[in-house]
Amino acid sequence: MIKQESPSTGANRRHELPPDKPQNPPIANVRLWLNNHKQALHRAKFHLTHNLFASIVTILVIASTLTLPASFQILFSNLQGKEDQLAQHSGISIFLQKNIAQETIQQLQEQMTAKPEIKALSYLSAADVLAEFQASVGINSKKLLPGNPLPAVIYLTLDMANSSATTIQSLEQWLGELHGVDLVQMDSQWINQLFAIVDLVKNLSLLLALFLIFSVLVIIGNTIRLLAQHYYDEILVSKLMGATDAYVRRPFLYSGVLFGLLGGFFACVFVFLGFLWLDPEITAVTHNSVNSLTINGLNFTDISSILLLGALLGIGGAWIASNRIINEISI
Amino acid sequence: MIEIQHLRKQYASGQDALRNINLTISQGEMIFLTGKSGAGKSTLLKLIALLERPSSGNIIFDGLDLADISLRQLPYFRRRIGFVFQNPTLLHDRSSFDNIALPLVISGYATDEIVKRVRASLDLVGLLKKSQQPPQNLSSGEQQRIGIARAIVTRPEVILADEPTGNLDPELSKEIMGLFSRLNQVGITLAIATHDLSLINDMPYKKIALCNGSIASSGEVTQSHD
Repeated sequence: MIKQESPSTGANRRHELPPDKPQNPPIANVRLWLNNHKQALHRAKFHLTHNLFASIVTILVIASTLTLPASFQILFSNLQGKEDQLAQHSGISIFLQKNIAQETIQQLQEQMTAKPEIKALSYLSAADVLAEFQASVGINSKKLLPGNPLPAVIYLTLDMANSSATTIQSLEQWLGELHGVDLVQMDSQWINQLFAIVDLVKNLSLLLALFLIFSVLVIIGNTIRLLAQHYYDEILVSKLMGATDAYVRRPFLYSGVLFGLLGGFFACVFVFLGFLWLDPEITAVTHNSVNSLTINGLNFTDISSILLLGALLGIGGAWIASNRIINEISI
Repeated sequence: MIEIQHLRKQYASGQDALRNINLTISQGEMIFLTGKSGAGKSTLLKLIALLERPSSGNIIFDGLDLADISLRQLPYFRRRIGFVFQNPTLLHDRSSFDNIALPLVISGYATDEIVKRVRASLDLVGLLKKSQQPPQNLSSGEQQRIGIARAIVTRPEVILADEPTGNLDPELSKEIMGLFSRLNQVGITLAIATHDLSLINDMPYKKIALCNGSIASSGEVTQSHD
């Protein structure tokens, strides 16, 4: 029996196109792939250390540019937590009409307690309110005022989990229409105004952060472009020796990632130092605010996000820049 | 090994660099391409190496029509060829050893195989003792020998050399040509472009003279075509 020659052997082999990849067993291909990446990383480290001063300057520029968006992110993530915390404590003060009957007050309290949006209720009679006022001001008003001009008050604590802006608005309207109620005052109004301003600043900061992030992409891209131009001969010779575009591109991608990671790392250091430097001012502000606001510094997620952002910007900038040079050398 | 059929290369300006070239280079053969500057020697080598694509005609390399090779396949085709240039284009930020190892690294050889092959190539060109020297510490002749060692280290099927002695003095040029001769004796196919007829006149190899993009003569060259 004549054994038929396989298409990949013998004379036919001479007419085949060269393979896309070396025909190695799978394990050898994995080893080759790992080895290629190890060499590319080694080359990237060489790129960075070969002109150390220029690399340090670039890394510091990236770090400075990333510091501002990173600081915004931490500040706003802190405020986001506090917004909910402040909203939880927000309530409504209901000033009752003068000379209101005790039965009416009792009825009002019962009606209010039945509302699901109301978590808790406390009643202060006109005498209690006056006593509280005297205690806070530190004077005996009886000598200055003929009677008690202050009304009785019901303080409502809202259940924010079961409330929305619309339901609170409806509640406020309903309370105002109740018999015996003189004035309804939303205690959370100033907080809402504060957070409206914070939202505006947040959006402006986001815009600025996007510009700065784009700047980092441009900085890394330009650095890699200059690096690739410096190693133009190496790229040319490598392509002549049979290097694929991926092989040529890989060290530059690693360089971009290293620039981005180191820039991100130093941005974290800058943010940490910045918060450390501003700590007395932050403490002063937070101690004077309601509910003891505290600003937390960098946590693990923040650091990981900044490093990841740096690495992604690095790989993106390096990809664009190295591709341009590789395409220029069209041999 | 290499069969060139009705090859034509026209540049964008409309000027013909090569016209109706028909040529065969057999396995294990060594040929010289001669002619004055602009005759088309370098263009012919570039077309064989697919550094440029022909305007018309075919190049059959080991049974393979080079027109069928895509951009993705090109790097793998290049690994079958060794290049030697007038300027050896060595990388100055690494040792001679690492320069020679580059094509092997690109092709994904294991480290021990790289060491073995690079040492063998260095030994062949007589520069084993200078393996750790950076190229700038070597003479022009030594640099060119490192370039040749780099070209042969992958054991290519063919070596294309474009004016390899162009920057060397006559003594070093003879030495380099002697080295090519030795490579040919171990079975490597070589195509060498040179304008220096005095250097190759006495060498017993096929000489193809190009003039204005056409083959003017083929065989033993005894006089200049300038």
